[in-house]
Amino acid sequence: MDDVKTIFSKREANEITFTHLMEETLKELSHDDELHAFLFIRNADELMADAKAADNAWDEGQRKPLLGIPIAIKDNMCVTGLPCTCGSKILEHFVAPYDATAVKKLKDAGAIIVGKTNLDEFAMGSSSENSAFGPTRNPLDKTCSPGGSSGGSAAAVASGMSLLALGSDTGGSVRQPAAFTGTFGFKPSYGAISRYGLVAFASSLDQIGVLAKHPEDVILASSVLFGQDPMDSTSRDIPMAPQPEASNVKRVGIVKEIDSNMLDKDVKHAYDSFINYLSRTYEVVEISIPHWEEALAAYYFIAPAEASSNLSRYDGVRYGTTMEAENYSESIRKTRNLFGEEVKRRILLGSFALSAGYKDALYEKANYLRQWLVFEFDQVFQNVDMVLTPTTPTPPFKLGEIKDPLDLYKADLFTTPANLAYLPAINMPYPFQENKKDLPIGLQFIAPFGEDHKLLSFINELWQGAEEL
Amino acid sequence: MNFKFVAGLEIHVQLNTKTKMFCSCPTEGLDVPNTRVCPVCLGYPGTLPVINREAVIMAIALGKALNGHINMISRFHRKNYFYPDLPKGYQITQGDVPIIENAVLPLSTGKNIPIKRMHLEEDAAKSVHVSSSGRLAGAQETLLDFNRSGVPLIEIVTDPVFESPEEATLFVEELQATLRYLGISNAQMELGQLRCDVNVSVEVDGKEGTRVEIKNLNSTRSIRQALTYEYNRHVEAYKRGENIITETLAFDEKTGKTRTMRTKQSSADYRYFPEPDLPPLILTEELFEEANRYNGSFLDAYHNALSWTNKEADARTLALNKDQYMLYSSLAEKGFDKKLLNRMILIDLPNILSEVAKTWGDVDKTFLNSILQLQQDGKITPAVAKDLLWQAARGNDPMKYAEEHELLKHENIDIKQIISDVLQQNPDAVEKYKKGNANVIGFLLGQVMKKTKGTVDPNQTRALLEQMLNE
Repeated sequence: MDDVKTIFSKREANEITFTHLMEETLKELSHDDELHAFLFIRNADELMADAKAADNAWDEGQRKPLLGIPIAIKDNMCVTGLPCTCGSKILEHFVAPYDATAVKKLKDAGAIIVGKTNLDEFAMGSSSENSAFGPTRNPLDKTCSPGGSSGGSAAAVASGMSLLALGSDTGGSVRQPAAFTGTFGFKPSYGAISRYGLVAFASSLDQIGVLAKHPEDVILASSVLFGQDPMDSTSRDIPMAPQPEASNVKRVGIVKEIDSNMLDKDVKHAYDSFINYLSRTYEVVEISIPHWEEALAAYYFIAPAEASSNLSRYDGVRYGTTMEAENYSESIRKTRNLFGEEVKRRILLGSFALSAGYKDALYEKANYLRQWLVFEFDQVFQNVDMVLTPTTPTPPFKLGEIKDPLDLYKADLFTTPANLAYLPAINMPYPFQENKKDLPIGLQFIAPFGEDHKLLSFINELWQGAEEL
Repeated sequence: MNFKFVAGLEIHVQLNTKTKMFCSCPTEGLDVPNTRVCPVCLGYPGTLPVINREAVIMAIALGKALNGHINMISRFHRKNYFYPDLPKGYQITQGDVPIIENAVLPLSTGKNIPIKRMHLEEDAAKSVHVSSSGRLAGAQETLLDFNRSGVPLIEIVTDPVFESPEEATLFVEELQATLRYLGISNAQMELGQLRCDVNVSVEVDGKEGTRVEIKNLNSTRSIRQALTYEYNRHVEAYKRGENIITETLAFDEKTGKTRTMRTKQSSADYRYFPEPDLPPLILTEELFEEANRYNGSFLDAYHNALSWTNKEADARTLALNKDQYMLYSSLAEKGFDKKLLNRMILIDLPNILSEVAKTWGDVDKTFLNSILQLQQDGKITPAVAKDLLWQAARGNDPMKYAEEHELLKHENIDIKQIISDVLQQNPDAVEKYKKGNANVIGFLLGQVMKKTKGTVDPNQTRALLEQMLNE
């Protein structure tokens, strides 16, 4: 599928229309019962009417950055009038009364929202199997997971059901599914995109991210989405131009603490060969992040701790599903029993980590480690421009393959450090697969805080360079 | 055995900002339930708090007024617990670093009350318990009104320094006045704008007693009654050799007694942690400058009042009632005689207002101005002045009324002629006076006053009357 720039030039040459583009999209969407990428797809007539309106606007001379472009939204972001289930029984019938800031910006930029994508319940998971409404399948191999928690968004983009998709990334939930579906998945610096309207999982780690097949589309969408928002006090202005520029990257660091022997052999092969490839153009140096390994442990206390508080609001009193009972405490107990196993597990873990007598040893200690990690990355970036890691330790796993939740947590091993350290990071598909039918392998680049545009420009350079080979 | 009363207060004050603490819902017009709400204060998924700048400015103003240590960087925390009136399942409050620490409220009695901390937080929704019988007891349903959800609160925690129920009550009254003079809260307890929890214990022979907490006292009268009741209960128990158990109590206004709400064994773990949706609250010079807008002082008012009235009790009454004080103050500024003002503002007007069920806010200052001017110019007597006040309270222009009813002293009135007329018409009385019955002078004076409709000065007239009788 073309990138947005190409679509616009074809539209300019009257080779295609947005109506045509939407017809193609609808054709793909009609196969979604196989993939289950979406929890909600907007009515076809409405979508065609939106595309027609975009064509008329174009013909009247209107030019907006995403005019007529079909886009999918992860079902944990609010779109006025559309359901927002978060993949949970507890919000099964909840309809959002307002637009998330990111959604509003996309609408203002002319994008057409096609629907809401499947996810692990409240974005907790790495396989999309924790959705209360059934898992999503990987479009590249339907017996495999598309990753998670933004598995639906990744599958939608990979299968051409939308050009772009929004995901959310708390510990890798955009990058890991991108890695599993051979797409680009970008988690910006913390605060770059307003979280207003993103249903909170772990507020200090959550960040809205973009999934697309082309790095230039990631840049374009980011330029629309970035910006300080008065509704989100943790948001801030981070520069993002709509066009890539020369990245001036010279030195790339690889993390000493990653033991490549513990990687799956295909991942190890891709990782090693890409390091080789990189070192032809860039200086590749080994760097050390001493607390790299502790990061996952810190993450699995901080994220559940915040989640246990963020998810307290689902009591059935004001919205969502209410389980009627004799009294309040019985009703809230029954209502909250609608949460799935993984959500309950994390609420319990988080409540425990914050409770009197354990808080210092767990929650506070985890935050202490987090501060170390921030400091260590800071030191590393004195020396290198980017850091490279594999995105995941393994290629896509089979649906149902991983039974032990702890094993699944390990899928986040390389992605959580960027969340903990507030840094921008992206998944780039390994470009040199010998057999194009092989399952994709993801490579992750992490950049210094606020250097999101440099990171994306660099990825764009790399991708174009690799494609020319 | 020697008993000593010990109490500390925990007070929640609603700040009178235009909007709520973390969203832009208005804080006025709350009477129709659930009309001042938005996704943020209803705790909808995906919403985020934004700190109300004005509330921060008000907190700084209070910190400055009470000479507190103002933390240039403070933090918001989440206090987690489940309750139907708590939409997010947590309250955003300030934990380990509040905006203000170690402040002092100087009482008008001269005692300083140390305040441990003051911090910003959000109010919860209001629960209204109803039953088919319409009675609170045995309520079957709870209705929720989220208009109050998210209204800015400042919580004020004192040290346990109060030595009597009266002192605690005085503190609350003077704190209320302090907040009102500053202009940061209306602090009306009956409207829930100021709510009071008390920790109370009784020391026995210098040994610390068991502390109990009384929740939600909603009038100064209740505070005094509840504390007195608890003090007596503790003393009686200790005298009998019994123990007091640590518990949380509620006060029943009807019976004047406290009752158990919960015992401490079930003490909650609120799992406090820093609110990740808000960056630390960093104060700027600009905020401090803006805080200067709130600068009224109760103690200044009290000292002014004392200089006017020369009586501590009068001064306190006047200063505690800001509207009354402001009225007095604005009239005093115009140079009216303090004796006239004391009589009008401290005695006559309060009686009249309570009689006609009006408030200080209803008083028309221009009317008072005219009445005082007439009095000061010697054109009316105190009796007429009081009459005119009544007219003013009924909405009549006192000036017009006085003219229409010929109540003004006329410069061309021939008082000597009137007196001699009265003397001629009452020869019996004159006779009695000459025989040494001085009492009849009151009767004769009454006759003169009647003819002049009270528009002449009674003392001068009496003197003149005596003089003419003796001629």
